[in-house]
Amino acid sequence: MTATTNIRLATVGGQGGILASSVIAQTAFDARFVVKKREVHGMSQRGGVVTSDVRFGATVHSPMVPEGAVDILLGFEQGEALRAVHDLKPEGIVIVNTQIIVPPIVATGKASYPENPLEALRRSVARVYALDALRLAEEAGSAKAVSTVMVGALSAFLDFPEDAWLTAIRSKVPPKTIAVNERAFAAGRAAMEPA
Amino acid sequence: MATRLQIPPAGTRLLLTGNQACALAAATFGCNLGVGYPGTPSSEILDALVRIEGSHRTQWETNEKTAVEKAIGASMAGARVIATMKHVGVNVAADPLLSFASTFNGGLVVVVGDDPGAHSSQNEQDTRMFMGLFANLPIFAPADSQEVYDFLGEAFEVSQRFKTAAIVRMTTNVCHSETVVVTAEPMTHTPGGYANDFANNVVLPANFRKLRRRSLHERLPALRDYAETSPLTREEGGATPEFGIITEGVTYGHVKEITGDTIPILKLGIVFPLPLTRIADFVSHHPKTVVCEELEPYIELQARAEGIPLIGGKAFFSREGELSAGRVAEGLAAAGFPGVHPVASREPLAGVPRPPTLCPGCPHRATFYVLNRMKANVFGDIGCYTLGGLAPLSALHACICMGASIGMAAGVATVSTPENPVVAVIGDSTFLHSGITPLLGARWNGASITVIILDNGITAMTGGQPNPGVEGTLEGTATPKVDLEGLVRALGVEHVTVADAYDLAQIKEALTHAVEHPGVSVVISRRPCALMPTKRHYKVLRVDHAKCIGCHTCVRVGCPAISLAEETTDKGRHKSFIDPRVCIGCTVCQQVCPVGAIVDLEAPA
Repeated sequence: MTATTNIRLATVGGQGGILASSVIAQTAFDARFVVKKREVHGMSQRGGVVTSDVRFGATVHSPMVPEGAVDILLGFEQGEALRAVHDLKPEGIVIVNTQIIVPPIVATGKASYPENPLEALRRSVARVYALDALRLAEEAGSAKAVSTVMVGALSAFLDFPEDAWLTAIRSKVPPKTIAVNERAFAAGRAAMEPA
Repeated sequence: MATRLQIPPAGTRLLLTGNQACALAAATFGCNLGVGYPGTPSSEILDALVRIEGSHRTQWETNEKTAVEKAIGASMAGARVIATMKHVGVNVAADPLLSFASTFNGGLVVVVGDDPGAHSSQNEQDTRMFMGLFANLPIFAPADSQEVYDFLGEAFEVSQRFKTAAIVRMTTNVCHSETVVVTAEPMTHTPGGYANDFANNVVLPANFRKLRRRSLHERLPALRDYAETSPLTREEGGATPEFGIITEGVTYGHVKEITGDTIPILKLGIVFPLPLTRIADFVSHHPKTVVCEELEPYIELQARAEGIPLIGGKAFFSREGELSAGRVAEGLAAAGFPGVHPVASREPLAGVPRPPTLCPGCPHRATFYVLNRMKANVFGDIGCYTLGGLAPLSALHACICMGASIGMAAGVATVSTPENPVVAVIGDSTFLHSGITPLLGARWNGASITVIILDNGITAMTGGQPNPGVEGTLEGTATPKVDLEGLVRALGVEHVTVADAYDLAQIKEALTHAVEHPGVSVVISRRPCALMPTKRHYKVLRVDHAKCIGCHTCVRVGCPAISLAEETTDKGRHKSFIDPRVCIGCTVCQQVCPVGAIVDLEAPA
């Protein structure tokens, strides 16, 4: 383990990637780490790609994870996980939501969606953990809780206590959705328990 | 108005974006007024400032020029004021700024968000060149949120001490990154009040020449002395003294990622005026020094002009796009820096292209669909609707800068007579920003063009800020909205029609008549934004597969809710599918379907 932990979230606009990165950053911040988080959004809220980096440790210089230095890639969508995998460390982990979001450009015949991205990921990366975050979110009470399911899954790979995560989640989500998000977090975390 | 946030006591540890840090610093260091025009990556500064408790005022202005002019007035009245804008906004504000730059007034800090990489901009532009070398304004270059916070406080001090406007130059990865901030002791500033000062504030030639002389021969050298000794610029040692790196802003972080503590660094906090004596001294101790800076060779050119022997700058670090740790490593390795190697990445695996699209239910979609069918020559503007140029709508053919659509259309119509109609499309906020004067000019000089104002009642692209076309201000004061039809008629435009932006037949009829009208005509295509200020829900639709003939007409409206179903027709063509979680029920697809196959979700099968 290097001094700095580097997490990258590869998401599609509207999936709640920005909320998820903000919960992760808050959890690390509350644990007194130096934290840097950055987002590339801009025009991407219009259905484009949203990439977030969260970095924490004793010292963190750049807000951007350096090329090839991602420890954990949180892919919110199969194709996005595939696109982002080139910056994963050789020993890095991929947590991937099996959801597929086909962009409109595919329906118009101007592009095609990659064939079975999950298989391609598994051929390239030793440690791939897949979960159906959309189904788990819907079971928890709202399809919008996908991002919290993903945070729950991530939490299984980091050393912060469960309570620290839940405190951060409660501070970031709308008060009316706290119960749903707690269930979503638990579902994501449970999905990563060793089978 | 919701509860406002209290300014935290000194020593509070917070996780803030650069934009939030800027707002908090403004409130903490006695800012009396924040003004600006929204523009990525700077928009969230005023959005945050208005939510902080205090006596300061926070106002969106109609454009960056009027924002800076208001800030100049506030400065003349002795206030501390910030004016926020993106890099291209500085172009709009350049006229007042460049003349004000020769006067002696303080308290005015222009906060600029540059966008290296053009993530959300029409170009890349280096504000250091423009506001430093050209306008001679002191420029502060923060690398993270803590520096944004500290440097804004210092910028107010410098602005008042030297009686000059100052610039805080941020970049996308400073504005939008969250990093840790520890707060300082809050202070207040009471404006001294306005007093006439003819010799200083009236830039008639006779006054200007004296002001120019004083600014060049007194203020500039004093600023240079300040920059030479400021603790905002610092030197860091390293084990290999033969080498050195001069850097600033977010690039400093990338450099540290790659070099750790091995290479001596001169990290500049103030980039105009450059501390050239300090730079020369650094290079004399570290003979193999490179300048590592994003965008233009701004530091490099000035250092070279001074005869400082650098081993390189732009030869190793591109002028294009954002730098990153990897790009810095490549450049340093090429420059022969010891122990630095290009970083290794995996083979990229193919992803799916995901170009940004108009949102589901976007009120701009139908207008572009009609324009596409009319084969109009469409001159576009800056906003979400620039996306109307992308397939499958493909109905926007030129876009240059805020407000340019109407002038470009008029220019084409003045010197040529295209076979198809000449149309300008401009959003409500952009029209009020800089579309009124070109419309007046087109009407006055006469031009056969049709101007479509896409009125979605908000400044959507930048996150939903109010504009004068909306009731109420940023602070929540109830002020009436401008009457767009009345405004356009007052400019002398006689042919003005309003269409429901969800109603294809209405839009088509309005446009058909408008383009036939000799001279300037205006069509206002109106519907609130589907997302802002609140997400709208109409009746969600579905495709009745018993009726769908797989013609894909609905696919060509380019809605993210519509894709192809597994199910095919007898001829093997995929039928359409509407994702009920994405559809908001704008009905545009329903209107184009030739066989009535798109029905209410709840309609019986």
